[in-house]
Formats: sequence, structure tokens, C-alpha cells
Amino acid sequence: MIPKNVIGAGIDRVDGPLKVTGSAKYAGDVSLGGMVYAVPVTSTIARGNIASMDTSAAVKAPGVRIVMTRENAPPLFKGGNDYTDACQSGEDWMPLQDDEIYYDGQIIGLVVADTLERAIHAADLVKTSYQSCRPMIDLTAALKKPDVTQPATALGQPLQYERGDVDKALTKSLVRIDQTYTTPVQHHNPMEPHASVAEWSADGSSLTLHETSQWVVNSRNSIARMLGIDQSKVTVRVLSPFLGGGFGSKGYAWAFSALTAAAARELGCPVKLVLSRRQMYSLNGHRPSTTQTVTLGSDRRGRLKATRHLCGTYTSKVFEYIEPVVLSTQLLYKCSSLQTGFDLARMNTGTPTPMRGPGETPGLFALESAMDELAFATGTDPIDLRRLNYAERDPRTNNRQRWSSKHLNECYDRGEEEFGWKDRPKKPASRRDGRWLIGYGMASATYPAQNTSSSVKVSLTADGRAEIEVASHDLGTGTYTILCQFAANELNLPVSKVSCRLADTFLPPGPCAGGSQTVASVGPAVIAACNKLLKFRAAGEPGEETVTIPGSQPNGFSWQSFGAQFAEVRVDAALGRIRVHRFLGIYDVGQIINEKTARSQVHGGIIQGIGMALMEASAFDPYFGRVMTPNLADYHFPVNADIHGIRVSFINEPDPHFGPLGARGLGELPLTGAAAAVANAVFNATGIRVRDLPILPDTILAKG
Amino acid sequence: MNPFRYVKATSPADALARMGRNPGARFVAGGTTLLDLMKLGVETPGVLIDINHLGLDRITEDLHGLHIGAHVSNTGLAEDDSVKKNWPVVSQAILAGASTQLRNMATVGGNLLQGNRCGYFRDVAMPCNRRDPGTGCGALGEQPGVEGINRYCAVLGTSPSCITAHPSDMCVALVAVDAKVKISSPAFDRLERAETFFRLPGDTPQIQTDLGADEMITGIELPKLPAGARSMYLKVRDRTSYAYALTSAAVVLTLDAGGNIDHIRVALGGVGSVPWRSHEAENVLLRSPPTEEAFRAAAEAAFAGAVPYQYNGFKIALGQDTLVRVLNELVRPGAGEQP
Repeated sequence: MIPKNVIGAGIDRVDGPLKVTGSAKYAGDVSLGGMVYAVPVTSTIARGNIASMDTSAAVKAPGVRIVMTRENAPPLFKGGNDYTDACQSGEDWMPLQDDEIYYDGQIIGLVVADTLERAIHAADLVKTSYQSCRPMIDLTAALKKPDVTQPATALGQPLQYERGDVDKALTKSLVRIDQTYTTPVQHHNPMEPHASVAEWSADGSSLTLHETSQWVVNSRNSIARMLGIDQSKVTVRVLSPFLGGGFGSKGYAWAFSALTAAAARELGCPVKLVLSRRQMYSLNGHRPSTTQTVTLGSDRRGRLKATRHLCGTYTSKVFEYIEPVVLSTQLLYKCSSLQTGFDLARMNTGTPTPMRGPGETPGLFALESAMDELAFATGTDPIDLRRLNYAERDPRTNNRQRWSSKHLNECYDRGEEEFGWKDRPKKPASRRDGRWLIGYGMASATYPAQNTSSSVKVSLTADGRAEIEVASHDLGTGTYTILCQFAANELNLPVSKVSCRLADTFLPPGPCAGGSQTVASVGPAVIAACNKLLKFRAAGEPGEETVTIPGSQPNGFSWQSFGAQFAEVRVDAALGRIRVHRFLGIYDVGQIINEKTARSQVHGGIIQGIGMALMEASAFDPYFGRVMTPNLADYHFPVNADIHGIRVSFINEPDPHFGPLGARGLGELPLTGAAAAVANAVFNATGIRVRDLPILPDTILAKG
Repeated sequence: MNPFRYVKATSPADALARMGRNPGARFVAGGTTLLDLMKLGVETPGVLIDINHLGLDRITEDLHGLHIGAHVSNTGLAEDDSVKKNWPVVSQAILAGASTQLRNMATVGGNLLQGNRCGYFRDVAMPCNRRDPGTGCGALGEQPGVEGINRYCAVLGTSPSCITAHPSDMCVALVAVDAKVKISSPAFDRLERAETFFRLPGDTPQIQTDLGADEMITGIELPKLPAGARSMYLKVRDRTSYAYALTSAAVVLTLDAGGNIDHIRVALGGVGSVPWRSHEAENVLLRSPPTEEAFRAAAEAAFAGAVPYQYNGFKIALGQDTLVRVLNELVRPGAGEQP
């Protein structure tokens, strides 16, 4: 079968059969001859010092090969803090090098034994005593401490920002909204636990790492640096062909991988380490909690005169991670006087790290809730309010620079129609079905578009089969399938004749699977390589081409994706029960490459948004600073029974000024704004405005 | 996790004999609590005695009611035709708990012994009098005003040594239907009322039930409910499945010819240190007309002795509203409830 319009079609995942039959090998599935098992020993306090560690019982336990602590660990080095050069570790610090405890669950030892069970048992036998201090675990208190900083920028964008004169504009505003919103700590909770399997060659000249990595090139560079390896002398290879989700937690390199490799080097045999679910609440990042104050000033109808968005959040004691909360506020609506500010506190938690829609996700909860409050205060329909403040051009450039393409108005129009928005209860708490109050809510979504340099090799056989090779990644979202579609389309082959190898640093380098950039970065390289192969294809000859395509260079347009999201909720106010009855998302992300994998990825984002609105939160003991929800029974995200009536629609207009595909990313976009759409619907249903997530039954009871 | 020995019992007598020879051993049936707690280091038995093959997996019915083997799965009990028809509150309560996979593994006997879900109990690094007597109650907290994460904890039946809530849904319904627990020891067999099977924490929170160290649960009995009985279980939780109860209520009632309540059982979940039978609420309701006022008064009576903690005070009002909702549904069904 010759493909027709293979781009955009809802083609089944090419890796689907491997996954449903269990034959896809994930990092934790890798089993090597002579392999032994490592288990981290972790701190049970959040701040203080190790007084002593008694490893005598552990060392003598059956099957134990080594117990590494600060006493005998090899020197390890900071892994690098350089995103641009793909040497970005999650922490600017390494464990087992000193006595200090910075956060609960910090690695203080590593036990390696011949079986996993024996390693777990021996790790339990290590007895540690501490000199402990009260940890800083409360964001409000931490934001009053002298170590709070005001970082100037995040991702190259200003956090401390002002245009116009906000104070003056506020005094002239007839309507003002001034409210504080908070979002809790969230953990990524990918289904697949983080894992590392390390194997050295006998002569020590090469190290192979099977990693759970969203960015194998970075894992290679960072882990090599942590180990003190000179890559010109030692070959480091990182493989991560399949991922069971990551959501950002597998983007930066983490210390446990280097410890695994260090243990393998010490022992002269392969070592496997798989983090336990509990450890995943300390050792691989999280989304930090935020407290955000949004001030809006408008005219009588709701036309914005002034916007101020101030955010307080935190990082750990061992890394400066900045959750770029306020950036999207600078561009989403037309407003001539706008200010953002950002305070960064330090707390005794594991290090925060990017999590799906970092910045935009907590930021848009606050901004889009405030916009809903403004709509209510002015009596303007929430969609009309957004139309009234539509940014036809990029507000950060004094409304001069054009968007590469923007169809947000069409998202509003289509959503209004498809959702039946005109039928919404005009007054809060005015519609019910039996005991259930019914409400509609909406919010905008936005996320920047980006792409970056990628190389790709494509080989063609004489009998017309193609193979793509690139150190890019498939988080479970469809990269394998999409790259095959590009090649099939260019080479005029059926998708079944194209195969793909990913996430191996021996392959041509690809970018981080983060920032919703994989398709826009790797796709053009696949197409370019295939174009070079067309002459071989025409001649029926074998051939191969390797190309490198740079990321898009500034072209005078602003690159941004948009969407509009609509929720209908039902609230049993007496018992505080909330059900999201239906949810509609309309997205403007340029050209859709695979309607099926795109829709699936967006479903996931919406479900995560519903979880953020109604249940997700990590709890820390306020005295000890210990994570108290370190498992999937106590950390709640939606189950199937919570999800009803999700519908997704794409504008699907190619972006003429962003990359050769006209496709912007869509991985993060649907989570931004989704929680606000639900919270706004809860207000419409009940008249109860919830500004602190998640909206639990007791939240409704307390305010009802 | 500790090394342990695994043995398989061949009969109830063999199981009890093996337990007698191995102090500190644990019976394992579905393992849905025990294996979890062993991985966490909370339970460290030297010997596991597998009691899955003792023939205690049957449900039989006679004139008096239903006899349920201890190793009937939660799913098996919830889906039993007679249970669905004659004890719907039991079926509803089981199906409101855990997940399908867990219910398929978990047994009726095991559910009676379900370990509590308090985060402090489950974390050996944290204080917990129930796990390690004398270490303190982490949920209650180290300092006044700085209580632990106790949103899920109980407001009824707590003590200064333990404030955890009993986690079971099924046991709440068992209390409401006057179920009895069949218990065997090497010396004799006995029947214990579900209501008195569970022990309040008091000064000895480590003792959770009436079951002796030499005893084993072999089954439960569900006595026939009075003719015309209506029953219902309702659970309020943070998500629609696979979440513990914030509050729940199981009610069994009958109305006499004059329309007054002439049989009433009220049991509450999520709010008590044990599956909480409320005699106080029953006393208000018995022989009363089924009015909103009577329901409200009963709910207030049920929580008159409640003690709230820093993060769970909402359970008092929510628990009352949950009970009132169930009572209303039972006498005026069809008001849009989806249990």
C-alpha cells in the first residue's frame, strides 16, 4: 500500500505490539550476566548531619557485595548545570561526599548484593543516627527568610518584568481583582520507576548505561562528569529505547545513576538499580508548591488596564531550580501595564525539577482563575472577556511582533459551539440535577513552541525498507510512529516498511524529550535525510544519509501554542463530592502529525489537569519534613472512574513561520489551564471560589 | 524487608498447630495488607503460614442466614447473588473499597484484620504507638499546633496514644448487619459479634482486635435481616475509586405499619478508631418517624462525642451529612444518589 496523506493520519503506534506483549525492554528489564543489585540507603530526616552509620550487620548479610557510605565511597563530582551544552544534572551536589542532610530521602548509602531481596534486606540493616534540626518545610515561612532571592530570568526570559505603569493603571481601573492562589507540591509519578543498569568493559575503557532517560545525550555527559570520566578516554554509551512516562522527571541526570556506575566500576560486574516508589518522592524531582498573587485592573466591561502577577516558590538546598511561573502572564492577554515578580525560597525538600508544563501549569491556574473572577465581577461572559483582551500580536514587544500563527479566537469560537457554552448557567449555583449542582467553566491554555538542533541517519535498502536512527526519545507518546510516518511520506513507502531506532548515544544526537520539542526538532531532520535518499529510492538502490538540522532561528515571529478548555462539573455540595462530567479541549498547535497519538497525549494532559484540580498533592510532615504520601494509594491522581466525556479537537492549521513542518509541540499544552477550567466550573456550579488546589471535599464543605 | 520462612497449612487444625509452634508467625491469605507491610518493614514475621488451601472458601445459606468462609474473596462475597439481594449493604461496602484487583485477592477474614492506613504506622522512621508502643503518635504530632498529617484520622474513639481511623469499608457494613466472626483456637471455637471484635486504641493501640495469638478466623455469619429491611452503604472519598473513606455510613432499617422505624442499625466508617456502631444515633431513631429532623438529631447524637484534630475537623459535619443522606435515601429513594 502506498501511503496517501500519511501525515496527520491516526496511524496505530508502531511499537504498540511490542508493548502490549511485554517484549519492549525498558531499562529496569535489562538483565546482564553476573549482574548484581543496588539499593540506596536514604535519610529519614530532612535536615541535620549524619552522626554515625553502623554498616556492620549489612556488610555481613548474605549475598552483600559492597556497602558504600561516605566512609568508603569513591569521589564523585557535580554533574554540571549547563542545559545548552547538554550537561544538566538535577542537583548541583553529589551524595556520599559529606555528612550533611539537606532533605528527606536523600541518598546516604548504597548496598549492592547478589539478589534484589538481599540488597533490600541489607539496606534495612544499615543503622544511621543523626544530629537533626527542624527542617524548613513551609513555603510561607521560607519566603520570609533572608536567603530568599529574586532571580532575574528563567529560560532566558525575564521573571522580574514591567511594562507601562501598573500602579497608575490600577488607580484608573474601575474593576479590580486582587487575590492569592496556591498550588501544592506535585510528583511526576510516571508508571515506570527510574532505573539504571551499568556495565563496564573489562579494561574500563567503556561504560554502557541502560537508563530511564528523556535525554540520553545529557545523561551521558552529566553522568560521565559525576564519575570524573574523560569522555575522550572512556566511551560512555547511554540507552533508553522505551520509557513508561517521565513528565520531566527523567530529563535531568540524577545522582543514583552515577552511583550505580560507580558501584559497577568498584565491583567489576554489571549493577542494576531501580528506585522504589517511595524513593521516587525524593530523588527525581517534583513540581514545587507556589503562592501567587494576581492583581487585575480593568474597565467596566473587563478590558485589562493593569496586570500584576507575583509568585513565591522554592528550590532545594542543593540546586537552584526556577519554576518559571509568571512567564505566560506576560504574553497571554493584551495589557499595556503589566508587572511580574518572582521570589525563590530555599526549603529542605528534594530538588524540584521541570514537570509537564513547568511554570505555565501553576501560573495559568492563578491567571485563568483571576480572569474568571474578573468575568464575574464585570458580568462579562468568560469567553467574551478573553476575546476582549485578545493579543493579536505579542504583548511583550509592545504589540509589534506577530505570532507565527495564532488561532486562539477560533479555539474559543469552536469551543463555545461544540461545548454548548451558550447554555451555561449564567448565575452561579443556579442549576441542579437532583442533588448535583451543575456548572460550566473555561480557561485558556498556552505553551511556547520551540525546536532545537537534531541529527538523524536514515538508511534505505534496495528492496525498499527504511530505517531511521536518532538519539531522540519516545516517552510513550508516539515518537517511533511519527518519525516512521515522516519517512514513509517522503520516501513514498508504507509505514510498515519503515523502522526506527531511538535513544542510544551511539546514534546521531537528538534533543531532550522536554519542552514539547521532539517532533519539531527531529521531524525536519528525518525529512531532510529522506529527501537526500530519494535518488537511491528512484534507482532502487541502497543508501544512507546523515543530516543535522539546526533549530529554528529567530525570524521576527513569536512562537506560541494556544488552546481553550471547557469543563462541566457536578457538585454534591452537602458531601463535597465533585465530578467532572465532561471536558472539551480545542488546541492550536499547527499541523497535527498523527491524530491518534496526539489525541491520546492530550487526553493524558487533561486527565492530569483534572487530577491537579481535584486531588493531586504531596504531603510533608510539618515537623519532620518527611514525605507522607510516598505511594500511589496515598498520592491521588485520577482513576478511570473519575474520567468522563473527554473530547479533543485540533485547529490543525500548519504554522507557516515555525519550522519546516508547521507543527508546534503539544505535549505540555493541555495541562496548562486545565485545572483553572475545572475550578472555574466549580465556582459556576456552587458559587464557591477555590483559590487553593486541590479542591477536595473538605474544601467545598469549608466554604459552602 | 526481613528474611522469613514460608509454610503451607493443610487444615485449620494444622494451621493453628503451626502457629502454636512459631510464636510471632503470621497467617497469610490474600496478603494484600500483610505483604505490603512486610515490604515496608512494619511486619517482620519469621514464618508465614499460608492458609489459602483450607477449604474455607465457600458460602452456604440456611434458615438463619449466610455462612461465609474466611477465605472467600472480597469479590466473591460482593458478587454473591444472595448477598446482593439480602444484604446489599455488604455488597455495596465491599465494592466501594480498594480496587478490583485488590478485591480479587483480598479475603473476608483478612479484611477483618486489615492494617490501618495511617502514614505514620506505615513508615518505620516515624513515631507510632500502634507499631512501636511508646514512640508517640506521629499523626497527633510532636508539638501543640504542629500536628501531623491527620486529615484521614478518626474523630471518634481516639486516644492520646493513637488517632488513626479504621480503614475497612466491609467491616462497617458487617457491624450494621450484626455479623458474627467465627474464631477457632486449638481449644475451642467461638463466635464474636463484629461490633465487639474490634478494640479501641486506649493505652494499647497495638492490640487492634479481640483475636488471640493462638486463634484464627474461619468465617463470618450474616444473620437474616428483619423482613422488609432496607440497607445502604455510602462512602465519601477524594476520588471515585481506590481511596479510603473520608466518611461513610452503613444503615439497616425497617419501618413498621405506622411508618415508624422499628429496626435500626447505624455504623460509620472513616471517622472511628474502629468500625463505629452508633448506638446514640440508633436510640434517637428507634420508634421515631423517619423525618429529616429525626435524621439530623440522630447524626448529631452520633458525633456528640467527636474530637477533631488539626486537619480532620470537617469529618464531623461531613460524617453527619453522610449519615443523613443515607437515611434519606432509604426512606425516600430516588433523589439522585449514586452510591
